[in-house]
Amino acid sequence: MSKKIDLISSLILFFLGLVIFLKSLTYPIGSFRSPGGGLFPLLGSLCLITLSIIMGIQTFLRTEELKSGKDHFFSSKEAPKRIFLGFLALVGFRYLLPIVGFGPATFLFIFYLTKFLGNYNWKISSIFAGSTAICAYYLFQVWLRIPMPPAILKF
Amino acid sequence: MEVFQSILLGFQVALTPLNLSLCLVGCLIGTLIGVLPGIGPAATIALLLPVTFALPPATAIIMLSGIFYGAMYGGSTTAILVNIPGEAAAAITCIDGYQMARQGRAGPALGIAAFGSFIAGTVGVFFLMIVAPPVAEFALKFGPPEIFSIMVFGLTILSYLSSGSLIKAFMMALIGLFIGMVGIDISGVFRFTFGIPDFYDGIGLVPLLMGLFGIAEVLTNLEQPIIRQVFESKIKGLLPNREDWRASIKPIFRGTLIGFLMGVIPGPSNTISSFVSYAMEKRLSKNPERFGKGTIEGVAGPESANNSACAGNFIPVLTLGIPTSAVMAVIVGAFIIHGVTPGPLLIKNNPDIFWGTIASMYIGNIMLLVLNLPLISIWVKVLKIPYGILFPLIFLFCFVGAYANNNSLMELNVMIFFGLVGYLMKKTGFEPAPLVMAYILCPFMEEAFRQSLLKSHGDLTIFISRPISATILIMAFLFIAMNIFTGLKKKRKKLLEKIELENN
Repeated sequence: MSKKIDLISSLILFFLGLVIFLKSLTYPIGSFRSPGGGLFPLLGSLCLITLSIIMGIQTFLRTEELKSGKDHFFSSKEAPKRIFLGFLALVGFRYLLPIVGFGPATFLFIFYLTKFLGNYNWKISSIFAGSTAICAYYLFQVWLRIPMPPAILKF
Repeated sequence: MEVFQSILLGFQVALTPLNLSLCLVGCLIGTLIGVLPGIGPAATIALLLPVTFALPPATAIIMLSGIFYGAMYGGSTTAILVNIPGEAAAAITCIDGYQMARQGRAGPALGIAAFGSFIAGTVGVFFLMIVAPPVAEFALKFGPPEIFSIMVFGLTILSYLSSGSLIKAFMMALIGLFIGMVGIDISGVFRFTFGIPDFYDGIGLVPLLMGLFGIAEVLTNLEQPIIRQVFESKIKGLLPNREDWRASIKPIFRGTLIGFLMGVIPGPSNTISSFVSYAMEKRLSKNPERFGKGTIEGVAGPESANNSACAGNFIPVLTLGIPTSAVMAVIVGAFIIHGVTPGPLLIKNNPDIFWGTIASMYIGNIMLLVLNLPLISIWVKVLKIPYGILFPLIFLFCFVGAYANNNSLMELNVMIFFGLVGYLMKKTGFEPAPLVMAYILCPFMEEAFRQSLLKSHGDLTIFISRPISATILIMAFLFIAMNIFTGLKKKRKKLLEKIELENN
């Protein structure tokens, strides 16, 4: 793992530990004799802060990169774009679901993924998305009766 | 004698039509995901957790266990035919299995993998059946300090054996504890809920698992298109000949023993045991130079070891309630979701679940052997399903599973968040297993910690003044000390780097 990534990780975890430490102070700490709800997170956050400092120092003092073959964050030039598109699809589906309903949202979601990340043509993507949406609708909503969120827009 | 009466009860449970059919479904799904690289048993079990909500607890556990050991069977098929491990535990099988396939001996390689898995799986379950009850009885003597110490020990060992840095693993365990603290604590304090009513009951296990294992795994795979080249020769002669059996029988039994013993230890024991078995077979072989060139011992030993380790994995879960790996953490989650607490009281309070699960493993192993060999041509076809078609379906199942958990859109937010976190963790060398294990153990651990302090009037030495607790903590400390001070650190790193390279 690259030194830079490890340093950033230790810094993020240090601040996370600090936030949890401060937050746990707002809960009743009690004492060892009568522990309150804040004691366990307080002790945990102190451990996290300590470990992140140790990790930071260890990384800072490290002179060589580990030869794990993972020195770059992304495995290819295309990777950030693909990950962004994938993540966008997840968020998009989450917010489309209550607006257009399960069936249409599933169609759009599957179509987007197969077309833009699966690299299939329009025809295959449409057929696959359509059949998946129909099967998923009947499987989950009709057969298993999972109460999917009601759509704001009715089709 | 009592054990055999109990296992008869187990067979009564396992042989009901519902349990039998869901054991079969679990085994088939397990084999399917074992065959398919890119989705592991932890993610699959997490995906299917919501499907089990309506099932009786014993049935749910029987099905989910079937997925786990079924995956071990399936992993070897991909390793032998495609030279890609379907499961991390089958990584070492690629070396000699694929060479055998190239030499036109794919049939015997697949055959011995299946027979070895069957023998090891069955013997492993027998060991589990014999060993688990006395361990559980011993664990009944544990008070809160011992329970806390054993949980610390479990987390330490899992962190020690996680790939990557020990400090990183410990930090993940701490993050898991914090996630487990979200919600109302035992004294009624709202912690880390940030005023969001959906968090009052805590962060849901299902969206957490689906995010960390399902979404994160697919996002990682999405970085590059997966190219699979299936070995295109007709598979014939699945039954190994006498010569193959003569060469394989000792490795199978040695692998069984190694796998079971290593399976009990927390960590990726299925994977490690198969590597240890391979190394041992190579060392014991009269012709070590044949290893890597398609020797059947190189398939028989590791495949037996990883299946036997599955049975070993169940001992800490069923007797102490402590998961030893990510898959076991998900299974513990399944127990909890079904209102059953795994641990020393499981045998006493829920004998149907305990013995039913064990009996189902015997049946499942037979099912896998009978089904897998004739179905090999189907698994080969499954391997040809493009990932571009598969991953949208995995995403969709994750969404439906996470939503169906509580019928809440907040669960989807949690899943997407942990999907991103899991992806970043993978990219930065942080393991999700200690996080999940700590998250599941958190309520029990905190309760045991607080009860211990109340019992000792605030004296922290209670953890080291009681002999069992002290012994467990000393063992945990020794693992940490070994990691820091001895040359074992280098050995561990080498072993884990080897596993990581094989996995990639």
